[in-house]
Amino acid sequence: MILRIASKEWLNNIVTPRFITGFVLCLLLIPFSIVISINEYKSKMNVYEIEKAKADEENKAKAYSTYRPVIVKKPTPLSIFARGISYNVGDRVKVFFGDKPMLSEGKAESRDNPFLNRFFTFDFVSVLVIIMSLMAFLFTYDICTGERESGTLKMMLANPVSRSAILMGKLLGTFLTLIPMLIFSFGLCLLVIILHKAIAFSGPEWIRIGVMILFSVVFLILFMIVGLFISSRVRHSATSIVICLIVWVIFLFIIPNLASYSAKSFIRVGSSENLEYDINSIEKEFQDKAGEFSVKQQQPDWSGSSYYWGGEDGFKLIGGATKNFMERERRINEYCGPLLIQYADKKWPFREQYLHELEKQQKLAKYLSFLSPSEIFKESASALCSTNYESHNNFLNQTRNYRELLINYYLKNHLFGSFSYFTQLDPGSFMTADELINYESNGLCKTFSEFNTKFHGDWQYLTKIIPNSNVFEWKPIDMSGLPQFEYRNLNVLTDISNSLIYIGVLLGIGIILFWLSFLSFIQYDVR
Amino acid sequence: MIKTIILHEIRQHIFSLRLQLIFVIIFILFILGSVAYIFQFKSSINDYETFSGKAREELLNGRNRGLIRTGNRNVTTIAVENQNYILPPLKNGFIDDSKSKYIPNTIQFNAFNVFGYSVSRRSGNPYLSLSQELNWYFIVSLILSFAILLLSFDSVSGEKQSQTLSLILSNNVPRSLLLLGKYLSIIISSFLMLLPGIIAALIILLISGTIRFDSALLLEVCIFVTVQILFIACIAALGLFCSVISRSANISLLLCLSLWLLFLIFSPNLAVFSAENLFKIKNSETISAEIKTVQDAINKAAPEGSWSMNGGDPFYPKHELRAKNQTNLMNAEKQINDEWYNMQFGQYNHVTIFTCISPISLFGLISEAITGNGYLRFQKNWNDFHTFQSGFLTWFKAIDTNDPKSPHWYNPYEDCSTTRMPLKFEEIPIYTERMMTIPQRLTKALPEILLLVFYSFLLFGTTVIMFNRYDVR
Repeated sequence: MILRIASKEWLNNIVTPRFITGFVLCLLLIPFSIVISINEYKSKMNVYEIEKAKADEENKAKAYSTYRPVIVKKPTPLSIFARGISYNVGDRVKVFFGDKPMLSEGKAESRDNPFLNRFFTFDFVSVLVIIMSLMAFLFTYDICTGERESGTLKMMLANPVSRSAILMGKLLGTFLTLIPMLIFSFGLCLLVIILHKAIAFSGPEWIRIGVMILFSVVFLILFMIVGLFISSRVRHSATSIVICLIVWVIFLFIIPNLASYSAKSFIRVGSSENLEYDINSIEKEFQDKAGEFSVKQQQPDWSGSSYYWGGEDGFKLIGGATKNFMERERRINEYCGPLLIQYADKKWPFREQYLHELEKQQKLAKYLSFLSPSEIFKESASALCSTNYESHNNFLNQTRNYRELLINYYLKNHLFGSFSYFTQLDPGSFMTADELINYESNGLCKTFSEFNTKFHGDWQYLTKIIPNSNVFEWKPIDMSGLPQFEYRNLNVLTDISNSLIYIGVLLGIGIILFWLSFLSFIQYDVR
Repeated sequence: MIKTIILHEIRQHIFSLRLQLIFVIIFILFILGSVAYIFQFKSSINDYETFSGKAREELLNGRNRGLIRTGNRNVTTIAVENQNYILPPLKNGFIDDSKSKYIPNTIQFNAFNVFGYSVSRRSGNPYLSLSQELNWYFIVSLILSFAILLLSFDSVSGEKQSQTLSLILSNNVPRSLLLLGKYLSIIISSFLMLLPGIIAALIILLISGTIRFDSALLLEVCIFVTVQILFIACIAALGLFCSVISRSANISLLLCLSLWLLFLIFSPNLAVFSAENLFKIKNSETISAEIKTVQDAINKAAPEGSWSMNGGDPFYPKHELRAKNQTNLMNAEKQINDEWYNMQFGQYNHVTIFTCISPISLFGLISEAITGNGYLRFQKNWNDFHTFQSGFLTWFKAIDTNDPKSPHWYNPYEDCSTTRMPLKFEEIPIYTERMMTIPQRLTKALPEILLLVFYSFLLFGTTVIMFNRYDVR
């Protein structure tokens, strides 16, 4: 019986203009949004390739002091479906010893013209959610009221059919009407993607897409039930449609914007520029301390070096200096290396506080937006596409853990206090100032004091260069023995089980509403 | 006669559920939006002041970032220092902020050049997905436009279905007059839906005292409200049009909803799509590669010693070469960049034309012009900055010329071959933003306003013609 009612309902629905409208809307809106998302993904991929090449170059270190690996995360092609926050954040993290990774860097905007940010485009999931929820409402708003108004409900109930069978049948019929539209949308989307040959999904990614389709079915059913509920509570189709549409606008357009706007307004996050000013004072303290230490060290017999290349975060390469000078530098590094890490820990609470505020704001926005079922679905979709906050945070946490791992390696192997931290020369070959002057001046001066008195310390007499002391010509050393970063994406199953919570909530709401509408329909006055 | 029709229709609207529901929503949104805005404005002003205070301090005392410490401030160091100017938050953001947080709002400059612009998200949270601010523009363009369509979709087809239309028309009333009455009544009732919200928002903003209301701001509010009526008129005409071309209320509703969705989703998507496909511009990577090639060539062609420097002696002869080389490098970069910036402006301007097919986007452009916010504000500042920069340079050169201790070899990046006179902080030229005047803004908005009026006339005209032939049976 249920099937018969369903098939009647289905036949009734597919010849209506709303059915055609749904398809036309899908056809007009989905390909556009997909093409835009594909372009965005491609440009993000392009940035990734460039950043990756740069990182590979940068990661070729000539000594341990210069090894501060750059990590670049590969964008996921699933971002085409649900953008999440993936286009707000960069994908590059440089692991410094003097600072823990706070936010990722790199070009975040996927558009080359920043003025185009003015146009808020809708990604596939948003368009899908808007169209499917609208269609679900348009097909269910008159599920009870429509037949009552046309008088056919009375006749139907005069037959030996239970009210629950009618309700189930009607719901099933509507579901069967909407399902082709949903499949059509996904099909259209996948077709556009497949036609763009540049994108290929891996096995687990296909699973994620499959699960997303299943979730969207749940989402569709939920909206149908909301429509049914509204229809079962009112007596006129005209009232029902108005309420449905207003609920639709509230769910789809008001709540998401309201949630994020209130989170932004009521939870205060300091500005990142001002944070940097605060952190600068800690940085200065470090510099003072490091400076103090090096002043206290015994002055070298000669502070000249043929090659000296210094930079940020302990970057230091030295070649062609005296033994005494190298030893002094070694002691400074031995002290400053761990000090750098200590100060990174001192800076971290400020950064953590800032991150905590960001997270609080994000959480509030998220939970407020959960007032709308469509937002719950969108969140679960971006969890499936690994483009949500949790996924990005997971990446950042991994880089932070990796930094600890690297630091532990440095500490365990006493790299900060080693000569190989800043030079490729053999410590056994280091010379005293006299020996060095004698060598470099090609025997013109025997001692350092002679060099000073005879040539007034003029460098042009030092013509002979110690072999292999040119830091710029050093070959990169092999770093494969050091801990390497490997990004572990959250497991498909973890992601699915995480988003299952959301879908569970959706289902729960659905069941309660269905039960309520069932009760209403049982008592529905069919006259 | 028309008065009777209007009064009757308005009464009907006011007692309808849709108007009451939407009225409540709009009212709540106005109140929530204003309260939230007050909080947000306070903190952003606060942040901005802290930031600019610290930036000034840094300018005076030298910066202390990383290992680079610059002491010894003098006229040249101020002139060559790369400064950032961030556009301050505007107090009329509660009307419309034109997404100014997402488009460039920071300008980099020194006395020799206006380098470029970037997007500073002062208190922006990268972990929040993009969302619209809850300002008046949002309420009117999104919620109210939807409400108007909801009010108007069945004004003709609905009455036909309930058979009242033929009854009305059996009276001695011309069809166009009846339609005009309906049209005006929709406009009036939509406006009535909005008015209490606007008044409440204004009262909240006034009481809070965070935003100082001056005559200019009040004028902006008035102009916005006026333009808003034009927008209401356009959407109402659209709703009536949908109502007249179909024979049943259901179909008019479907039409209304589809058009609304198209205007809302299609138009921004179309803009970005056409930017990427029709008006493609070079990307930043290509530009940096181009700059690098040109600069490498300049460095290669530079005479021997162009990179020599002697910090202690400004008259060190090779400083002249160095200054020349640096100037050449700057000019080459500037030329490529400026060309690229112009491409970006051009692309944006082209693309916005496409969005004009949607009244909602059109209204966005008008409201951006009226509030003097968004892209137009940036453009104005960008142009003004070039004037300011030449003034800054003149100031610097005047001091330099009077200094006998300077060889006057202008180097745009370094303090080695120009004056090292000490500096009085008060004398440093400071850029202050000059907002567009109201007439200027109106001129900017005029084409869009005219287009909006044209749309309304076109839609309403077509509706009248079609209604005259409407089969009321």
